[in-house]
Amino acid sequence: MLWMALRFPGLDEQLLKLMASWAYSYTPYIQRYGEHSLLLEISRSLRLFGGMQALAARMQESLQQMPHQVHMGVAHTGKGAWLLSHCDYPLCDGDSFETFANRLAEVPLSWPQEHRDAFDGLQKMGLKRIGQVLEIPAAELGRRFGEEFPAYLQELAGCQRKLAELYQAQESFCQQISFNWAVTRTQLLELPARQLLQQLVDYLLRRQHQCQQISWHLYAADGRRQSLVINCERVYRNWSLLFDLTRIRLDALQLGFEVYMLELECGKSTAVDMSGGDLFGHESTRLQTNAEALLARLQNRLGEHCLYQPGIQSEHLPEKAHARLRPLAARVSPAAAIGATVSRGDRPCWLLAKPKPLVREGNHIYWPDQPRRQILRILDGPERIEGYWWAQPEARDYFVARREDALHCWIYRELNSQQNWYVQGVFG
Amino acid sequence: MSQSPLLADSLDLQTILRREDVWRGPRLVAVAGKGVSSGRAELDKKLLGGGWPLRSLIEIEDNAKGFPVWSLFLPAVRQLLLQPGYVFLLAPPAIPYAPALVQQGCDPARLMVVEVEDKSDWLAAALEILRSDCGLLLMAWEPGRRLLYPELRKLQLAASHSSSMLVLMRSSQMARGGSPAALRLALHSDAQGTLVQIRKQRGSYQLGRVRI
Repeated sequence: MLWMALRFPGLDEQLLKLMASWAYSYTPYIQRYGEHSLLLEISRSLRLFGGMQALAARMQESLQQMPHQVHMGVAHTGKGAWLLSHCDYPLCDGDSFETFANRLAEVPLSWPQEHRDAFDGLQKMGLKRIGQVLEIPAAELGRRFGEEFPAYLQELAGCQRKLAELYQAQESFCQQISFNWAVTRTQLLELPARQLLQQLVDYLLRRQHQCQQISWHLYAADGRRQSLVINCERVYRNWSLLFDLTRIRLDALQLGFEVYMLELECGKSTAVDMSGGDLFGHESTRLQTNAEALLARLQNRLGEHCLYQPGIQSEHLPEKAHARLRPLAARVSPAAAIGATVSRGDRPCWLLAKPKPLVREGNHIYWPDQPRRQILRILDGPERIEGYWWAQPEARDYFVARREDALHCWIYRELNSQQNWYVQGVFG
Repeated sequence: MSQSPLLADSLDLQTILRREDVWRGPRLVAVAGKGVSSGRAELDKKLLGGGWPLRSLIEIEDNAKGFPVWSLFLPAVRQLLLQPGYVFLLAPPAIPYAPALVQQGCDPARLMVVEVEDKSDWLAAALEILRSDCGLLLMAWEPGRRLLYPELRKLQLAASHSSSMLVLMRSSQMARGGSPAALRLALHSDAQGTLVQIRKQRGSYQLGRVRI
């Protein structure tokens, strides 16, 4: 066992949780100690990171980018490492358990935070170092200061190990940034949003997870809340996409109050799906990634339903044969659905959202549109299309007709008592 | 005074002349990139590069709501769809009918339709598509409010930095005035068919009419 203690003087509860989450990328064996410290069991991480010195250097490098003050100590016991974090011994791969024991023996009695009464009493007796206390028989110390005290010393020296609760990685991400001033413009939220997104992506990378939805919560001083939900295809490491989407939504947002806190929540993340990934970075993978990112941007700006891909349904009536499909969703080849829909006569490449009524006067049919109405001359037809005979029967005779300006249209006559004419499509 | 090697390299005349955005009058035809065939030999002959230009704004004036444009560009669409990527239709005048697309040899799964009414959203969507590097062709129908020259310039710039083709459909009323488009065409349909009139072509004084 080899323990590393990280002591963050003055760090609050929330930030300590964040640091535990950060430390999770170095070892999964993390204990919280006291109010401001973490104990990390690192013996099983040494091989991966290339030894204790390399691991410590890597952690120091990462810690230097954070604003918190930190003291690091290493020993063969967690509580011993915490005590040694008070003196800056250089970390060395060659340090043995004897080295740590010797260093612990030199620790003054004023440093331990547990059993303060016992250590104060021992100091009054004239003892100065931990080593002197460890030389006193445990039974005598137990009679004088209670059974807990010698147990603590044994744990400190590594003779006995107490099971402690390990840090459990968070199952969801929720972080906030509070402001000391009132934010009234959404542009001022971009910087904190960027910081929170970086934290989210760090969290996702550590857990090898991807997310498809994030929520921003804006809080007023009186607790009022305004929320923004942002959907994307999948985000694993590319936080800039999430930032772009956030900026698009913030641009369009009207703040209903002065914002004092910004919160980012990612309630659900799933294991990252690398099955579609391409080892050699092929063109198709790059294209797919770009298309997904574009889709997310457009959907966040315009709304979910403003984008679609044209699809085919196996129906006879033209308006029902057309389908609006969710873009980039996996689907079967259109050939399966085409069937009878495509195999017959020519179909117009443009279908009107709603059939437009035509005017019939005598033997002529007119397009009623402004600025002037135009006569339609029938070129081909009829082609009978029927459907829904079991419910509300629909039967129509379709014709290809030419407008005066040479535009070819797809018109039909209803085969019911009214015999009304409509235009439903336009040939490009 | 001797010139620094760095400056000499960056100001290499041949490098500058190879750029498509350096105006060289009628000689641009020598440097213009190869276009995508329009599928009509007579029209290809009149277009620089032998077809529709890529990385440029192509502006089409038409008074039939831009319906005929699909058939004008259909051969180019088929050719472009041989490469990986998507064809985007921005604010089309009606629903692209998938059974017809299949009949015409276009896979509907390679088409994406963006419906938008507001002009600022329209412009933002067009720029996003051009910057996304996954579009082969963007066919955009002008929104209800007329696009101003700076907005057309934005489109032209975005197109010049992308690898896709950009076709903008405008009504004759909206298309009055100048435009930074590399190619401007007007479509006139009559009983004999459609007349394509080349109104402006960057790098060439040769204008003309082709009946298709």
